[in-house]
Amino acid sequence: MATDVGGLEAPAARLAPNAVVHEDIRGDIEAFERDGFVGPVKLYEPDEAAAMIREVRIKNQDRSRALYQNSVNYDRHFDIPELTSHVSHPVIVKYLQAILGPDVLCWRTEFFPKFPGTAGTEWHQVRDYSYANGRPQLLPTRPDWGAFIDITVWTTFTPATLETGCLRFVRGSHRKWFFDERKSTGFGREGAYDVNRPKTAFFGYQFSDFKIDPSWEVPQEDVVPVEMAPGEAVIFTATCVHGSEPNTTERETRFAIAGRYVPTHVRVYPDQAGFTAHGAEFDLGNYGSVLVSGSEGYGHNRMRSHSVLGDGFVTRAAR
Amino acid sequence: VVRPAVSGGGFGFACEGVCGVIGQQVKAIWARELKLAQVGGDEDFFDLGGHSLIMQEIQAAIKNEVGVEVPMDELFRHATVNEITAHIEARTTPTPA
Repeated sequence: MATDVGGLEAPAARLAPNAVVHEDIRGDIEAFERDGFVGPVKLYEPDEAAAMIREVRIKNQDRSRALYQNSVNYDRHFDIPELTSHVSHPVIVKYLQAILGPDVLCWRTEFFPKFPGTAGTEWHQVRDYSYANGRPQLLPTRPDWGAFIDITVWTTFTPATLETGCLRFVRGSHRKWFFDERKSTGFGREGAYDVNRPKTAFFGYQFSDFKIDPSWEVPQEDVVPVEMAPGEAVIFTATCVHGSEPNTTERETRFAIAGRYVPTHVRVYPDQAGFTAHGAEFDLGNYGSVLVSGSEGYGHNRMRSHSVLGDGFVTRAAR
Repeated sequence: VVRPAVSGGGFGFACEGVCGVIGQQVKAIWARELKLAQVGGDEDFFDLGGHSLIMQEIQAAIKNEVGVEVPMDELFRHATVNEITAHIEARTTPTPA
């Protein structure tokens, strides 16, 4: 077991000191603390999910108002109205408040299509997303926090099964570092490639490059696949080692959308006007974090209250 | 069963689903790119196993073989052979004076 490597403190796997846990989800939150993930959590009825993904697929084809002119679908909540509202879904925010506390930002959304016949995504564990280019994309500013600093809400809009490529987690792995993004990598940081046709098992990167102990292997007895129906989400910290099954079907594309969230004290893209990731350039000129819950009093981050289409993001009250 | 032509059959009778020239071309393209023996006129692209990469191939094939450039968002918006055929025909058929 590898922890405290190279000055890297073990992850603080605790609820925020000001977290508000409602009784009806207390069991889920306890499972999250124990395992590093919880799900499936239902967000939409299957017919709602089907209608949403139909609109997303149509609107995805028009990139003229997208924040970034590249083929990596980051942050389409700024130009696809269904996603503008999705990031503040009341059930999502309820779980965020229970883990990260009342004041929460959405700092990114990402598309995760898995086409028929594509390989599984390899095991990975992410702390600050510096795997992408060597620079941290998240920087917590409160040394006294002592709690989780990130949540990903991964919502599937098509069936996510063992056959189509559901996510899988190593339960309990969020308490120790098995990967270190500060290590150098032989793939991904320098070259352009088509993100839809990756040649590696981690979207252009080889995440095993970041293993602290190159001989470490995932303990199979702790691997938990999470099969989900359209409209369901799995909520996890990226410090929990995770990956996906391959899509072994001939005709079933799995399509999920991830929202990534941090407490408001975290600096997002610190001192960066742009960044590179997955073979693409991202100009942050129009970027802003979105306050989905509570209030923002730190002033660390540029914020956006509206999408590029003029739709307002919903900020839910801390309860 | 005698049914009216769904899309541009030109004869107005006895046509099962798509029967116009464009419709038959589109149907053949869909079947080829989706690797299916046949495709029903009202079957949904995604239910047939389609995805965005296949749609890109279909877009290119429609341009090359039908001679019409259809934007990707319209291809996704009209996600059956009948619907996209009607859309193409509406764009290509001159409006009567």
